[in-house]
Amino acid sequence: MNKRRTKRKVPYEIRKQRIGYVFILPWILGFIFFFLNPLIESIRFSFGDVKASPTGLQVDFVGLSNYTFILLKDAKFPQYLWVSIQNMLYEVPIITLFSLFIAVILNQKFRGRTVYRAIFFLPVIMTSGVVFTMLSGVMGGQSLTGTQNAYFQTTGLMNVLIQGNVPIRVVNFITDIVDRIFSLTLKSGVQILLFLSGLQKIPSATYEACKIEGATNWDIFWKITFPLISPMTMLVVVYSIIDSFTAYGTEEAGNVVMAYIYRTGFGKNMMFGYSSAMSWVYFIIIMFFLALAYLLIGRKASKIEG
Amino acid sequence: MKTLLLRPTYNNGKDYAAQLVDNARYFIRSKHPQRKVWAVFRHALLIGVSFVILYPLLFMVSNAFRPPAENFDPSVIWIPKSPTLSNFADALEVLQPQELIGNTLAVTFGTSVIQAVICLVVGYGFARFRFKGRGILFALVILTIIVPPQNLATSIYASFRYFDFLGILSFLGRITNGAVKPINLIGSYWVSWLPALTGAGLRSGLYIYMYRQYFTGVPKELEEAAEIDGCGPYGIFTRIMVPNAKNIILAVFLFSIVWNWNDFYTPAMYMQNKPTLAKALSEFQSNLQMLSSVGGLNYDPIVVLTRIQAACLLAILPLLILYVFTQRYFTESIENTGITGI
Repeated sequence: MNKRRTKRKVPYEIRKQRIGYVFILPWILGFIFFFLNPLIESIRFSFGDVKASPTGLQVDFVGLSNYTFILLKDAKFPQYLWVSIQNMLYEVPIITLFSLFIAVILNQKFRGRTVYRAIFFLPVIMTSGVVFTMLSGVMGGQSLTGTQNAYFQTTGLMNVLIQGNVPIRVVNFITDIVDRIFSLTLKSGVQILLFLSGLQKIPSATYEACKIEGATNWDIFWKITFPLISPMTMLVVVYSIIDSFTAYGTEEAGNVVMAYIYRTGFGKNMMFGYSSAMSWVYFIIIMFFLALAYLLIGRKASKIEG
Repeated sequence: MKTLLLRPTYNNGKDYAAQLVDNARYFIRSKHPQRKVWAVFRHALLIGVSFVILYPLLFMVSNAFRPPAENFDPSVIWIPKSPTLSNFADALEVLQPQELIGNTLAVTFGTSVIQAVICLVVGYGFARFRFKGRGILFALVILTIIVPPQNLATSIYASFRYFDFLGILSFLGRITNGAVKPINLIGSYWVSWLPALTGAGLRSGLYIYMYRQYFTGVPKELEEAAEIDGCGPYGIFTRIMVPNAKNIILAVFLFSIVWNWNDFYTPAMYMQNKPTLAKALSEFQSNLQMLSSVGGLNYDPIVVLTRIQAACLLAILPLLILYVFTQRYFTESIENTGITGI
């Protein structure tokens, strides 16, 4: 009797929850067909020599030779990979700090903040594709740092810094930031908004309490804002890493690795196998840096959220 | 108002805490000289950064309207001496827009509508039902965001080329002695629509995430009240949840438009014969140079420059117009959907 009652009661709840499967069914199909299957296929490709035939793709198993070729013989890939990693290591901290800084400012109440917010998000609309690469190619190339249309003249800044006995490495670092201020600012649109949304969730009572206790704004930022926003920092860092690694590029500008992988697979030679192996090496590198970011920031962040 | 701004003073009899609170209030409300300096500095900084952001746009506009020869003229900085539309005419000639417009609209709007609807359903499913394996499945959604789509491109290409849904078509082929064959989807709009229909399109994972975050924040009481009134799970979704989620649906739709419009990989990989605007733009420079050298024109990159700017401007103008009117939905969607981090 007792058993029957529970049996009758449980199915309704379970049945209701099972309807969730109906809702996510399209995604499950897409996941299997457009993610899992290609994922396994692409692992298979990466261990083989892929040839197109009328009935489908033919894969001849060649073991690890694609991978050994990447690591030992390919002259371009490690070099491109290094460029991408350097780029990422350089961009992500600067973008994160910059967008946090801007978000903190935009979080204050003053006239015109909605206008600024709209402008700061504009790059996401404008530059999420080919236009950005074309512009940075054209502007960064001749006209920007060139002669008549020079926008940021870093040589002047450089001279001042060198005369002020600043170490040459620091000078190079600073002028490099100024040179890239375009791409860095333009890549911070989403991140600024993410930080802004995080900042708005910190109750203003927290700040008031600190002010009453006599804390300065500096203290408040480092002791309250910064720790409380760390889950968002994690998200911003992850977003920026992925964004930096998967950005559009050609072999001259932008993301060189992606362009090289694409050209190897879909260029004249159609080396699908080799292209897959390269993208797997690339993916492992991306995952490595995401894991690193999680270890550095994420642990703390999840503690705060939990 | 003025009394509030006076620094409060108290006799010893007053509560010390109250005095501190009032002091803090005074500090916040007063037009302290420090705060004035900060306000000026803040505006200077924000205007500076805004200029950096708007600069490419201004640069584009300024260049697109100037005759190519004025690029060598040091006296022309922003405003061209003799504004011209010839760059646009040249750009249009190279871009061949009559072919592009149809493709771009089909890919952009078709895919965006599908994505906005399908991701809504999936995101709702993840947010409001506690079925078995939900956590793992949602982690897999996040994984699809992290893996770059180019990683899977080769095998997706193969599966589009010999499209055979879950082996059904080849099974039919075996029965009918080869009358039914796997379909070649390469070069049709389905390469964009089909992944969108199954929640696997461009950045679909992100949209599912956005929807899920939104629906997780909807109070349970709303659902329970509807249930008491005899509304089933599907009714709750279509009659209560969806009408309330208009803003987030619109936001996802707009994001999807922007990203599909700018997307270059899908058309470049799977739709070689049906170029979209983004793809045509990526080939614009080489096409322009080819055309101009055939016509005996100057091969100089500076001559190409103004036309590139005109083409870029043409390509993003629709998005800019869209953004001017819908800017609120973009920014509010990220701020208000309750995305709180990982």
